[in-house]
Amino acid sequence: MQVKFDNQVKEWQKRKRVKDILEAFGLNREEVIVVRDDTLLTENDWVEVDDKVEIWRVVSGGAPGD
Amino acid sequence: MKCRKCGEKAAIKLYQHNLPLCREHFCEFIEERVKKAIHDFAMFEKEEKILVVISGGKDSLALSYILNKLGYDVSLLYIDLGIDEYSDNSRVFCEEFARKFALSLKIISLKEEWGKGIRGFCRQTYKSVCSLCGMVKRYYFNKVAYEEEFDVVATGHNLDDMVSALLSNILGWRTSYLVKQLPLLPEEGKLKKKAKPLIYLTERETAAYAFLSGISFLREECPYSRDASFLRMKHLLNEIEMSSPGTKFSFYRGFLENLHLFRKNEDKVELKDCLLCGFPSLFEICSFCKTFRKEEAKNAGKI
Repeated sequence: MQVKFDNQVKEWQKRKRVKDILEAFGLNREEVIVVRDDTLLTENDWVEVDDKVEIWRVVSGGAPGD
Repeated sequence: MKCRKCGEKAAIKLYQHNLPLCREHFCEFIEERVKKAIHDFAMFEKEEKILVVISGGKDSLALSYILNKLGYDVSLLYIDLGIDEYSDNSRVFCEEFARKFALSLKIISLKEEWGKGIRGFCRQTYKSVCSLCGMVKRYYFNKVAYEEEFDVVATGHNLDDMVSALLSNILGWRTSYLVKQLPLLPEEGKLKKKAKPLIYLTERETAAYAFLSGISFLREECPYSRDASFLRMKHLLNEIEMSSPGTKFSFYRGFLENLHLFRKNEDKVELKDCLLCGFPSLFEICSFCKTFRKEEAKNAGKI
């Protein structure tokens, strides 16, 4: 499986739970969504060996007065 | 994981509510939360004209989409700050969104109006991009709302934005800022009321909603926000949220319930009309005119 996050790509040869993938990237579940094609994955979902998954960071900065 | 409402596969679990939901019920849930915020704080009515300030990001586009879907009278405003590729990209997302949902979009470009982007003015004033950005946006959304007779300005501030600013202001005991961190700021002279209908939603929820609703949004961050102290506050709060879901919401709710404690020290300031632009200001010349109409301000002997 291939997992993209920002400019990093990690690959695993075994199926893995989303929860473990986030842990491998050192990410907080509150700060990302995990996308496979046009669906979202929950932390309990499995990512299979042939899957391609993307992690989107959702935390944004911006000026307080925006 | 199954949707709590229909038993279909869940698209997301909302930890603060301990609630797994499928795509359909999640979107319904989010729209209900927005309706609740509008109702709880009496933000606006269906017949009022709403100006939504958009950036091309998930929050402002999700807000525009939801308000439009709920039948509100929505127009969009995008302020192009001229931050190179970042502004070009965000403008494209705004234009595409407005076209796709047939919404009226007004664009104000700093480069077109003043001949240079925001960085040019930072060099001239020794101010940071973030402080000028906030000031420019406030000036233009107040101006457009007043001149084009909108009833309310709506922004995409979400729960994370509010609690991170709240924490930052509490750490610095800036009580005069604290009392302004409300979901609705009332109309005051030429300043139209300002509403934050996403106040009950986290960033993760608005991003998931935008994705599941097919809204294309800019995922790139402003190059100047990477080191923003605001982001550090968000990370700290999310660490706490991870181990104690619901903390962010109870922090903000507790603030609203205890607002009277901070209001005691509220400084009552009298706003006057800026001598150059006529918009409300603390001083004879407003911060915007001091920056953008420096020569005129000098000629008026005011700086």
